[in-house]
Amino acid sequence: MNRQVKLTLKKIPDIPVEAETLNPENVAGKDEKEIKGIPVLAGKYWEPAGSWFDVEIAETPEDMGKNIKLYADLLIKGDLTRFKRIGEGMSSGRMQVDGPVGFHAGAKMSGGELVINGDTGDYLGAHMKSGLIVVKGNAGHFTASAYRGYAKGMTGGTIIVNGSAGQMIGARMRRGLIYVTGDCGDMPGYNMKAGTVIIGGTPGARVGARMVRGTIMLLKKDDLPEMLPTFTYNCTYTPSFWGITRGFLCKIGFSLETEPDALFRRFSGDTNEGGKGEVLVCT
Amino acid sequence: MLKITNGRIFDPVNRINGEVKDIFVRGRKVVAGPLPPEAETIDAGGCAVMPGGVEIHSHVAGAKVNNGRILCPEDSAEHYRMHTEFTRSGCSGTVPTTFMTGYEYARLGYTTLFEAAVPPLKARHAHEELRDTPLLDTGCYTVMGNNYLVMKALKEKDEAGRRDKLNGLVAWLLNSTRGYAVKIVNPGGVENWKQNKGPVDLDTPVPPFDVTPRMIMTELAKTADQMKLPHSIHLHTNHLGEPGNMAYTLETMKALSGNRAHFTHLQFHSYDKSNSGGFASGAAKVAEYFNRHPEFTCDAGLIVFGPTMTMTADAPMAFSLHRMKGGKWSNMDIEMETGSGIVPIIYQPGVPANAVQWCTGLELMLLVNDPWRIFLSTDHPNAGPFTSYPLLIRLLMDRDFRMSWFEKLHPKAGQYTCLGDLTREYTLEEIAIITRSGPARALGLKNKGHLGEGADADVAIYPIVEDKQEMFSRAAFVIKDGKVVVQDGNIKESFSGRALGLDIPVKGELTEDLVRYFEQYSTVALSNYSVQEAYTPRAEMIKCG
Repeated sequence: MNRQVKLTLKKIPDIPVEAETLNPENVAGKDEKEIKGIPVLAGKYWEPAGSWFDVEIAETPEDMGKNIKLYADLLIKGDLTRFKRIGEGMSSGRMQVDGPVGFHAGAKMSGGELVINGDTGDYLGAHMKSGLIVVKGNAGHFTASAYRGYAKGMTGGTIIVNGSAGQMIGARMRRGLIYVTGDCGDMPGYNMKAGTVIIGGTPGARVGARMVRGTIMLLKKDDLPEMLPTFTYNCTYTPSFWGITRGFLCKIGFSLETEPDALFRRFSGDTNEGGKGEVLVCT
Repeated sequence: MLKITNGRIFDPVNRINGEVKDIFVRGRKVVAGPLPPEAETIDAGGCAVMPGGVEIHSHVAGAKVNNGRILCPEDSAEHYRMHTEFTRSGCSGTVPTTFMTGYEYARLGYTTLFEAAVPPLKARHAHEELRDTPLLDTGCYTVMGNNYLVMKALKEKDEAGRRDKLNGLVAWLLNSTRGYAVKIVNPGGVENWKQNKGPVDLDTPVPPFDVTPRMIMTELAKTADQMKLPHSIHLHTNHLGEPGNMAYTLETMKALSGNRAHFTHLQFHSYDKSNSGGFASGAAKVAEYFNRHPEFTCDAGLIVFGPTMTMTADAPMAFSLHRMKGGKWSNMDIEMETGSGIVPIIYQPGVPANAVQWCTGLELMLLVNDPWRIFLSTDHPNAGPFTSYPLLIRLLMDRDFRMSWFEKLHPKAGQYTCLGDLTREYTLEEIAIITRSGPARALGLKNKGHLGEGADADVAIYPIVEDKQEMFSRAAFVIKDGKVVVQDGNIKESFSGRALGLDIPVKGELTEDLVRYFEQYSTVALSNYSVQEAYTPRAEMIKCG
């Protein structure tokens, strides 16, 4: 048996609320009253979570799902667009949000799973260290990127967006995997140091601008975007890691149309930064 | 009215060294006493009572400091502080916000501060920020080493005419920027770099006027002496941070001997060259020459290991640092006046160059015999943040502690420096000299740096404990303008300090050809150039002579 804490939003706040305190570790072992007393920062005042949420604690049967587990340690329901920093810094457990969330969701996360059944704001999984974020909706700008001024963003973990994403996904990322099933905005993988960005749909302009190392894969067949002049075509081949990456994504519940032996056109760049990065376009 | 009792007084100016004595404060001044019985009393039993600290060289306000803040938002994000009853919110880190700068300095017992480099065009900005730096009396130095007008005046062939022209120009620049001293940064070198030419030596002619760095330095030093400015020229010589620059520094000192001069962050200018062309300490030779010339003063510019931000008007130096380190770099061209560059860096004990730099600074502090002529500074934030002063004081006062750090350095530090052989330890009196009385004397501030009758009521009271780092990091009391502003390391009151300016007997004006030149090439009108009085509402004018 598992214990599930369910928070249901009572009303949408008028002002933004910073709710990094709402994560699985923080609700574990607490009773209803204690959970209602967890402080969240509404504007400039700390208020108890109970003034925004109803709390239910339920016992759920042990997981029986195939891939993504069906239970969550912490389940939040409602339109959380005004709630920032949901799941920020979480390090273990499983959290699910049924509804859209605001900025910084899952930022600085170092473990556990965060499932968001809705759209997210900007800076989803920024500076993420480890763990898994699954978004069933669209992600905002700067997904998995570095905050202003930092040289390195995401340093590990996996982010999967089952929808489209905004601009500059994976900007300055250092390690980890991002998979966006739909389209994305301009400059995916901007100045990335390493890691993998997989885009299922059509990317915006300037793919991989200033990338130092790392891999950007574009899965949409024969949809070659306009590459920057600092990228050069190398060859057409099937990267040996593609089968493994694809297998991993399938294992956690995503079916990919691209075959394991699909051919990719390889472009290396950005020459301005040393040219060790690669953009692989499915063909 | 305030009475400080039972404290051990360290007042080197009045030759009081640790004796228990009472200090009386009435209004903003220290008085002879006694005071009426209703006066508030502070019991300073077991504490050292010193005059408020005087910072002679720090970059805390103005365009490049603000650029540094903009360049590193991550630094601010990691060091934010909430507001309290008495203080505003802000960020500390390597380049704190203006209010934080004031609070942090006050907590260390500092009450007077000079911003080290203000180009005339950016003087308004600097004064605005200094006004928002609370609890400190502030002033700023006006950068002139690469100024077109200065170079044009120096081009004058007739000796007497040149002198008059230059004196008038310097007085005008100081008056119109409300500056306190003549600052020279890499004279000629910045302009030469801007003209896409290499580094300069003492006798390299610098375009567009073909005057040499030697002329710029010596003539401005003479001007400062002739005008009897309270502070000498404040000189950042050429070739900062290059291995082997010691020889050049000695040449510069020879050129200036006989004139007053303050050599700032001398550590960065005291490197010898190792056999492989790397860094070695030249502090011994520089200190030896320096000791023989009582007309010179200097501040050390001690390295602090950890992240910091170099910001300087020496744009070519910042550019070469950027090329060496990679990463962020910001550069500004202050049209006819100077340049500036900002590069965030990290000093590491395991890096040979940094280890040697660290030793060089401490060697200078220990080898210069006269504490009245060498002052504690980190050239904040270039060599380290000023918040590290307590650590540096302990390194100076405690040889065992110093050696425990020395052992952790890259082994090359032992090979190329002599720090291990130095046994000198600073006394509390000497610390009082290098942090307050010495800088106050070098700056010509007669009311600061001592606790005699008539001195400003700026007092710092530290609990005397064995660990000197702990002692100096949290002042028990700090009194500014006769009010208790810090108690047990916490800010108790916050208000703006005074703006220290110069009362120059001559108004100073530009000659006709300089006016024409200015109007021809400057982006601002001459009438808009001067900083108005409104920018320094609480001004205190220090008399020349």
